[in-house]
Amino acid sequence: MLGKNTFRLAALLLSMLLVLSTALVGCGSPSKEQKTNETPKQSDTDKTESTPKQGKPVEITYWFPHGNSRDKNALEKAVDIFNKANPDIKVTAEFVGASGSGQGITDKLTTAINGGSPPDVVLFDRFMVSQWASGGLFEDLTDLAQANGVTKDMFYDFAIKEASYKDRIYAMPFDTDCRVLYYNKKMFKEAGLDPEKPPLTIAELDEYAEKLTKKEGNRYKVIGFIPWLSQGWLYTWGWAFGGQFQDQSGKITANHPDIVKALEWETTYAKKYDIEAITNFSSASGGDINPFSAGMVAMMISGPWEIAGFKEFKDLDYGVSYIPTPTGSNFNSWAGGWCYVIPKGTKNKEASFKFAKFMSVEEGARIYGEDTVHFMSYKDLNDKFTWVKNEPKAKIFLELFPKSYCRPAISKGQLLWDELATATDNALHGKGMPKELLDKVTEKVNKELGF
Amino acid sequence: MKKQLKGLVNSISYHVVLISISIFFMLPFYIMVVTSFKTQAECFVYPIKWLPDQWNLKAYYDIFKVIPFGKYFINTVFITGANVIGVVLTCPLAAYSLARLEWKGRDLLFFLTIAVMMIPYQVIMIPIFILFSKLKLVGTYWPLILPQYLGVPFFIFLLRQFFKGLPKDLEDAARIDGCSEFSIYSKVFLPLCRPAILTVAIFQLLNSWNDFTGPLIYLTKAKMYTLQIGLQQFKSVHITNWPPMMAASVLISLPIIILFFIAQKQFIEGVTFTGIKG
Amino acid sequence: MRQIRAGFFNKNKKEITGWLFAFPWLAGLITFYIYPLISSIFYSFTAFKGITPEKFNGIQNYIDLVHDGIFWISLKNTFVYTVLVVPASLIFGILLAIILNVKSEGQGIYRVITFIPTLVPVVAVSIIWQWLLNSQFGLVNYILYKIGLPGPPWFGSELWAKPSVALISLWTIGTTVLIYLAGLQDIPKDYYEAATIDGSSAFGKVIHITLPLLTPVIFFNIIMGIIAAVQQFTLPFVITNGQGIPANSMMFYSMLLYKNAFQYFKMGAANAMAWIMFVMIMILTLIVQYTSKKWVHYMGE
Repeated sequence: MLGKNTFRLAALLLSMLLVLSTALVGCGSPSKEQKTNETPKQSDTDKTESTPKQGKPVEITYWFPHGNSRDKNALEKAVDIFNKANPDIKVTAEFVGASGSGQGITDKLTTAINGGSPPDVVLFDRFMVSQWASGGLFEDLTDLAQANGVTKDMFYDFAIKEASYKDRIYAMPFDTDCRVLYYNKKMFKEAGLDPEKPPLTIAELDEYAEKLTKKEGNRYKVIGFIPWLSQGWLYTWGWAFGGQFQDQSGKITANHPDIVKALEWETTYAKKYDIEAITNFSSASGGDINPFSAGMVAMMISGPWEIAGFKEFKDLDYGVSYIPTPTGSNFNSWAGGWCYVIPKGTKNKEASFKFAKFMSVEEGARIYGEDTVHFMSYKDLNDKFTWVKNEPKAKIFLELFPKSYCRPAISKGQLLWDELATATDNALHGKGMPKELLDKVTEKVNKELGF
Repeated sequence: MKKQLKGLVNSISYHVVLISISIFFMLPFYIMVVTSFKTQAECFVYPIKWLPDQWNLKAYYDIFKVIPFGKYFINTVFITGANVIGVVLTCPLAAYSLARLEWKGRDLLFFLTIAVMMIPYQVIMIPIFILFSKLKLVGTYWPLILPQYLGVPFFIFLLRQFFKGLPKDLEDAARIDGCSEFSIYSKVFLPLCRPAILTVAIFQLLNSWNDFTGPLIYLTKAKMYTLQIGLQQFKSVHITNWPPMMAASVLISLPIIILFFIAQKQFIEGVTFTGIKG
Repeated sequence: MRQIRAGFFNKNKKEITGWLFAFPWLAGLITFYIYPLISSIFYSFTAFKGITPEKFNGIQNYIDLVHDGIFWISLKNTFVYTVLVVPASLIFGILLAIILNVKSEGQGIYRVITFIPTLVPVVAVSIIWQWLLNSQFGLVNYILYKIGLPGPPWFGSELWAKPSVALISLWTIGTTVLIYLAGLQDIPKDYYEAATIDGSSAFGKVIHITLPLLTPVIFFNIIMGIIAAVQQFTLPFVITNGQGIPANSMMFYSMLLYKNAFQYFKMGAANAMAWIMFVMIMILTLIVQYTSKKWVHYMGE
């Protein structure tokens, strides 16, 4: 009898102890995390100062999510050159795949910073910088930039705005892009339109779209234009219609009258064509079918990356033009792109910055832009690229960069993006009036921002 | 004569049913294989091209240029193999204990086993990462292998259902013969559960082979990567080159398709084996 | 006296054996499940905005969730999907397993074909289905158009989006079928032989022998089906690029949870969502478990 009870008791105690100890670890971990945030600061100065003297290079881990072979080769080539030029630093480049939709390496980075083992430098989606900086996840680079002669005016306005949060710099802008109108010249000719005269006003755009549409039975063979296709986000049309998404005080103004007008205009297309039939064209749900290069739509809003991709389609004769506006003047666009950030808790801040600077304004930027056919945020570089000189279609992008906006640099950037996308989608599907939907977005995001 | 005819009709209708089901299961796979031989421009021609104009191997050639396929393959085989051994060792043991041994706390453990299957991985991901990070095991294969040696609830539940389904007189007979508890388990029950254990092994094989999040989070050095992470290298921010992506998918799934083909023969053997048990 | 002691000793030994057999799993359960779970309860009561929890804020996360419209939409979507996919895969899975269990030529090939979809990387799977089900340019609607049927808008409409995902799930039913097949192997052959002597038809055998003896496996597959359906993430996430379009009809619960955790930095809210999900699945499982006493038959009992 005794044996049985002792055993049971022992087992019970053991399991309780195990549960208890793990529970304690569970609750105790956050406070320990905060400690790890403090300790590296001490050690980073130790390391950067002491290690080079001993002749042992400082080791830096660099994460990038660009798996595509052309981008990857260019990034690795730049790293090699940096390592040769800086024998005191050794950068190890690691490709880090993106999970789910290609939005970068956010979940791995979140986990790594949490576990106290972040990389030193990360190639990061610039649009997300403010949000992460506001969460205290990135190092403030303002002083380092100043000490190393990096100034704000070296970059396009939108790029440095996106890389900053509350007037402090948290990232070094890397490549960039902006949106334009692509149109199929062959289809223009077939529809009796002048292939050298793309639409400039919204009225012309509507008229051309109708002329370019071809129907076969109850199926569309070609659709002239779908405003929300590819890069036709509400940001694109909101700004084209003259709207502003944020006011001076930092409040979100997604219900700006011009943005409402833009969305109302988009819904006319949803009504004209069967929205359900053409939703599948939308890049978000089409599985990367590019309907423009496949000859399914005649005009499309997209970015400069298409130029390299369209080279594969030998029969495609196309032009690029401004995004039409209601007046046919005041053309604008908006830009995105990538940047270099240094996560909180890294041991080698100075060496990391040196590398980030190399990649964004020095040889690294030059190699990347040239080899991958990308524009860079560093203003002085772009017109020097051989590919830009040989590509007549590059001109319009260079012209639009100074007039390009960036998405509001707020701590809830992703939420605003998703809310705008959902509001657009709801409006197009007839679930609510544009004004009401955008009022709701504005209210929700401002509440989250603390206004 | 009449009976033979009836047999023939039955056999034909059997194959007609299965062939139409097969089309449903094979069509997307077929598209995947064909796309891997197409050019990027050919992928989106409408109506779809059932065969490429020219069978080109460029996509397959590209794979080996972009990723060290052989190295990733070996890494994946290593992790997968280690995991399969782990679950086959531990899970039947726990399942047997839950199904056929009587002890205090057994029902609670069974309840917890079902309960923890309902936890979404995204939630426990961070605490487990912190745990491995404190043990200084991030960047090694341990976080991807160790958990399997401590049991997987899904498999334990599955095997428990099988152990429970076996007749009770088997165990009584063995007990009367004076077998130890462990040999009753290993000599009587384990062989009877062979189809189920094989199933568990195949599932683990699949899970490890197709696991993306685990290697993504825990592996820090490129030379340790697995095929699934390699697959991501064909996707890029705006434009994906489909033929190499599909070619890589074909190459990744081919080894397990072959393996499964062999394993399912084992199933048929399992049929003849369980025939004895009555 | 001696006999009683021996009996007691045996009972005690059995107790120890039970513990010993379960020990590795017990250790695994505590380390990789209970401990992270306890952490997540703790997180669900904190204002966890950046990476580390900031302060305890009671049930605020839960209150915020209940007031968030999208939370209810995602709950409804997931529920509709579960109701759609669990019975469908139950019926389709059992039928397929029974057909594939018939001894015939080419049986092995058919089994492999059924299983192939589960062997293909899921990202490739979702992409190919998007191509096939594209309402304007997809193969499926092209075929329907050729035979004069109106093709549904699939992922393009709120009505068809969830059935489309369910269809893809049915395509990857291989694992479920495999479990049923393994279950079928376990039914003693002489049961069927006896039924043949009694003159039962094939259909009668399925109803009176196969189905009742398969109930433990059916029970398992229903529970696993519910868990998998409620946690469905990859398909809608990849197909809609994380946006849940059209009109939020594809915003599944797990997707919203993921977005809260890794895109909006609301780790506290994400953990609260996980707990609500946990309790929901628990209730559903308990219902199935409770009814199981009436319809699940174990041969050992």
